[in-house]
Amino acid sequence: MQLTCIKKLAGFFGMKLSVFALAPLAALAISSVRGGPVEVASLSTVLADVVREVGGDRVAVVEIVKPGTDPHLYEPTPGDIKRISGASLVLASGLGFEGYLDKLKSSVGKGPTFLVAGEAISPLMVNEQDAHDTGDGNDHGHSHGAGGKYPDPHWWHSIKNVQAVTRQVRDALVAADPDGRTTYDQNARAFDEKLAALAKWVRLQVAAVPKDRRVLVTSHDALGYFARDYGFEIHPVQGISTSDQPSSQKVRALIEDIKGQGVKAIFAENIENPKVLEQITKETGAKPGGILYADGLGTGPADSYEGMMRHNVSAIVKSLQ
Amino acid sequence: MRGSPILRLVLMAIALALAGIPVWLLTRPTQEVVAQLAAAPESSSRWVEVEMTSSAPGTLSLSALGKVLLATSAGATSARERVWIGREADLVASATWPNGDVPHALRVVLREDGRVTRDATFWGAGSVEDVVP
Repeated sequence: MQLTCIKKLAGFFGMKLSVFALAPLAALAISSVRGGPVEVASLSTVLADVVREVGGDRVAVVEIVKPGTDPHLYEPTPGDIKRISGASLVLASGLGFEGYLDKLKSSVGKGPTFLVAGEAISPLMVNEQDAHDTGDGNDHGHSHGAGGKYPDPHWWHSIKNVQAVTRQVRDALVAADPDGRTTYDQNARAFDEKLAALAKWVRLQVAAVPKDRRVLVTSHDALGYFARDYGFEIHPVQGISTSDQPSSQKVRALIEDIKGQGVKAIFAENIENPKVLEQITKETGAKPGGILYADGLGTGPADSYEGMMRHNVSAIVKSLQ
Repeated sequence: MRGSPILRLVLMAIALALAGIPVWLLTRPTQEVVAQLAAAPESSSRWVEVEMTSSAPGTLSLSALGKVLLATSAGATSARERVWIGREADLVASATWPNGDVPHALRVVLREDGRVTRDATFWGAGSVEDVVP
């Protein structure tokens, strides 16, 4: 069929091309059709952006978890499992972020390859106690480790981690589609340079905030990697997951901390009920610092990784300066 | 005074030791003072010797929280100055070079009490600006 089309086109242009002359072109076309784009299903909005940057036109990405959805509370539907089963590559954040990941892998069988981004980075270990206020036994949103510590799954708030995951995604795409190696290498290099420029921009922005004012009061404990990279202290209202609800004692202690440290601003998140934060803001006199995208990408200017980081950093710097 | 010289020496030593006790009690460093010293906040600012070196003539500067601490006029290849720096601030080094096609280097060395505390090199074509790590 490909050859027929090409021959018709040749005829249209009045060209007398033999089948033999067209053979290499036809072979290329058939090969391209046979390969098609690499089907990728992403359980992370950040990873969806990374794979689009690295894969370009050679990938077709299905976002299972969409921007604005709370990934801590998301559970795959039967429809999602069907779509994931049809993909060649499935992208997951890992480090316990997708509490359903093991069950999902069993459900979809040996079809797709799973890329778990958390395996490409050195995770930040968090104290068990910091996350569990309610003692409700809810393990959603993180995995438990030895010594009362577990890995913080919000790895994308460190640009260095995203650079490492970019290389991991490149390697996975090359394995799935070896013919695209050159494209993936070039795109990954270009994205890495973009990330390096972003990291420098963040450094210069944060430099405008005195170190003693680098205190972030946020809805939940999602910005640990950012805090580590740029010298911030974090006071989360909730634990590492949005499902960890704060006790009244914790809220009271936090209010005292905020008053004691003279914290200037408190930040809400795009996917949460800001009621508790409003109460804290009211009692402490700290001003609302705006909305941060903590658990993934948003919409509008925060619909890309770069856009999300620029939005968050601008909001933080503007409020704490 | 009668008696053995050794006995007199011993008596005098005892008398001196007894007299020294109240003096020691008055002047010894107390636990509270030690604790206060330990808890005393680190001085928020200090003198730092800054040395900036450029691989090509340009305009060099160093700033903290938007305040310029050191700046040269155009055509400088180095600058050295003792500046008063607050510990709560990140230092931002920058340089601009007239030839924007070729990458140039800017080296920043910080010394405190003659000891190198920071040494960083930044590269850029036309200009460079970054936080001194």
